[in-house]
Amino acid sequence: MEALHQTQLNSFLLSKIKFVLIFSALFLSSNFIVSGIFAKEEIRYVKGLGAVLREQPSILSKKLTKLSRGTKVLALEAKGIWHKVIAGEIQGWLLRGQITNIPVKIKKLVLGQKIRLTSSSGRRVRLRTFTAVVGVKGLVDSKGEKISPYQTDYVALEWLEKQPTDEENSVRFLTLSE
Amino acid sequence: MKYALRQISLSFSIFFISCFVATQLYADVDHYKNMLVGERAATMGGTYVAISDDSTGCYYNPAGIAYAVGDSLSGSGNVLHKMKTVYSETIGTEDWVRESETLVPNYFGVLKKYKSYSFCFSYVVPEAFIEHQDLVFNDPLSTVKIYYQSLHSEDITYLMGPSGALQFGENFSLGLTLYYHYRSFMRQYHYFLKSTDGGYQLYYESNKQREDGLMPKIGVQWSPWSLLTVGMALDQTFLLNATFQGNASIHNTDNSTGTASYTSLMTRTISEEKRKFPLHLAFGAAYFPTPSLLYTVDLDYYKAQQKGRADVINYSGGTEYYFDPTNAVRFGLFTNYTNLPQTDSTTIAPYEYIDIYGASFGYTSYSSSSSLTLGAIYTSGSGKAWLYSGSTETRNMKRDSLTLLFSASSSL
Amino acid sequence: MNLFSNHLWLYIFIISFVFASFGNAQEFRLRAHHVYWKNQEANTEREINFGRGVSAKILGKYPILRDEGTVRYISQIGTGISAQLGRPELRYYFGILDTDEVNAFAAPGGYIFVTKGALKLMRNEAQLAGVLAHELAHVDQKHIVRKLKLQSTDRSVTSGIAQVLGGATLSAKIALERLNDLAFKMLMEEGLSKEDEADADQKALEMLISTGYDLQSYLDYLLSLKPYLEQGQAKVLSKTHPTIEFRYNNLREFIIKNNLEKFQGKNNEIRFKTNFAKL
Repeated sequence: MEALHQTQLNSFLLSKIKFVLIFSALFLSSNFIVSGIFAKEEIRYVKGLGAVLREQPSILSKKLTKLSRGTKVLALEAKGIWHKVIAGEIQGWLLRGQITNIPVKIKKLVLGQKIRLTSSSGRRVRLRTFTAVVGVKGLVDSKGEKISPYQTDYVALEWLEKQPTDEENSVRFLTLSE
Repeated sequence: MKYALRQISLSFSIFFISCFVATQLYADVDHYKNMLVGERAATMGGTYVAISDDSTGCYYNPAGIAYAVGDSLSGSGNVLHKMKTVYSETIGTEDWVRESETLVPNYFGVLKKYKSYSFCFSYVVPEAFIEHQDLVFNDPLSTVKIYYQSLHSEDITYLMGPSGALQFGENFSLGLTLYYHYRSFMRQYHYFLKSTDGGYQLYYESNKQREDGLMPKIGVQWSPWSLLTVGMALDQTFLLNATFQGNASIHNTDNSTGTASYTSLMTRTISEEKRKFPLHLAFGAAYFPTPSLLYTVDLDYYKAQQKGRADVINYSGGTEYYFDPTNAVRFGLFTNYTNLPQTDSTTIAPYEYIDIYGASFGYTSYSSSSSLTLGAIYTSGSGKAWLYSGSTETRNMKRDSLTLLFSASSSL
Repeated sequence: MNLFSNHLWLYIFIISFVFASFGNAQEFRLRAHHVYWKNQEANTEREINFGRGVSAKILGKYPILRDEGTVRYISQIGTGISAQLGRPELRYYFGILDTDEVNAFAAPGGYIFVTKGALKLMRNEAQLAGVLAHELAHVDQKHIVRKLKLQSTDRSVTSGIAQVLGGATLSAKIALERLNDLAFKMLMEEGLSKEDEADADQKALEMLISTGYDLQSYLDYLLSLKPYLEQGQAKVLSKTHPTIEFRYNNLREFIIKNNLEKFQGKNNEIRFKTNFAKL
């Protein structure tokens, strides 16, 4: 009685295993086949201030429209230095350097904080103080010897950082041609 | 034991509550989704088969852990799980209320990646049920003067074991988990009944069940298009050992016929019968439109292997939304259907037929290398219960549960 | 029999290891917190902090030209380019080093320096744009940071040395100082790899196309560097860069491969000469 019960159990399990194996094999093989077929679409964001969408992947091609920074596009295929994208309804080509996979909305947050960093907030002052001290005295190790053999000039660096920059004006300046 | 009771109860009113003894040897094996596991999955209604891409994924679909971002460790600090069942007008005209409350860390997992391989070790408590009840009823029925009942039961299942997964190319992964299953159940039930004619009944029962076994789980995940994944997982628990021990004693004094008669019975039951777990096949799909949003749905199919159990299909769905990189919320819905066969006019106690529906909500706060999650899961259901031994009479029942979870994850 | 069925799944799993290949990230799975911390604001701040340290050393070696007008001219060109194809989270600074040596440097975090000697060698604005674009590309591609292994290139969210950069203890500050020295030494002496330089050259051309500058001007400038290498006057330059022939040929190939020969860009020679008349 016991033995019969065991055999029944074995064949029952065997049929289950067969089912599982066949199903898995079909599932796996179909995955391998199908995954090669479909093109991958990816989401990208325009990082440049004024990115020109062109009809063909060539610099001489007709300009379709200009995309603003942060615009979400669907990237299709890449060709050399160009990338085919769909922006809203329009399909065209952008230079690959003009798109990134990091949402530019998040970048704005960082940019905002960076501006805070550069406008003499408390944090910036602390940073300046530390680096100024280091610059003047130089870091020394426990033996009292100077860590770095190189001279530093933070005063010059700060002069440089104080120079005004304006992205929009600069872009306009750049597009002027004689 | 059952037969002895039936004999005795026949000499009392049919609304005798002693049949409760026969209810449910097991706390709640009639449902498969009593506790949700893993901070992200639990707050999305337990929908994780197509995602499963962190250290909490070993339980849902081991294939997903191939896509985990870096090494990590995850643990649920505490999960407060409260369940309340109300059987209407069961003890005379009073409702019978059963409550369970457990506070248990129900998940711990650590994940490590190496090139395109991922390894994980996890510890899961998918079922935890602790009930304690002391009831006193005065004059619940015209024939019963006092009824006192004390019930304490604990039923906890543990799973622990390793998982591994590997990627094949960019779109496909395969994973395997091997859990060791251990369940410990105990129940002590005692009642005292004094009837109006001076007779009384004293009953004591103690049950203990231990089982251990293995639960292998195999899973695959596939991404047919960018932004979409589908997953499938298959598992079944096989018991290696099971021991059940039950002791019951009853002492009865019967005055109904005018002269006193005494009966005493002691029974002992030992069983090594291993229950057969269902074959569990899970399907899931997930859509990731942006890094801030995702939608996912799951279908869990349980094919019963045990006589007296029916096949079950549970559905669940969930969504996750990030307000910004440091704050995310999740929401989910799920079903928790009973695995008992449909009832009809011949259904006899003990039996409970109740389908349960649940909703979950969670919030996670992220920092550069760790996260903290708070969540709540609420389930509710109504159905019918056959409570009176040997009778086809039913009572309405309702079951509500609330789980509060608090858990943390950290990258290593 | 139960145990055998368990083992069977194990066998399938083990065998499938044979067919496993290296998998790549499924980028779409990364959630907002992964994406954000991967390009961490914290990491960017640390990169800027680090770059300042290296820049300070560069400025310690060469004095800065404090002519606001000339510096503004360079800055406008450079900022205009970076606004279109640079990293939006950085602010770029462009400085002129008062020395007759012919060289240009890029420090992480967006600090770019060109020497007076290099400016005197240039003939038009397109050449200046090209040199600035080349240095910008080094910053954008994080060549220096990667070379010093300061940033993990895999998908892991945390990066060991990056945490050192952010450390507040004295030992962390000393470590930072040592890293600054390493970077400075690398800029001055050994330079970046051939691949990185070629990569920066190509990216520079892409930037020139995007901003409408003549490409051949930049190649002419590279050729004009040759005599300086042979004369040993800019011995420094020869040590830090691969050969001019290599770079020139690489660029010509790039232009041909991408059908850019017909591209006519501007060179704004007059504007250039007006601004640099004083030099």
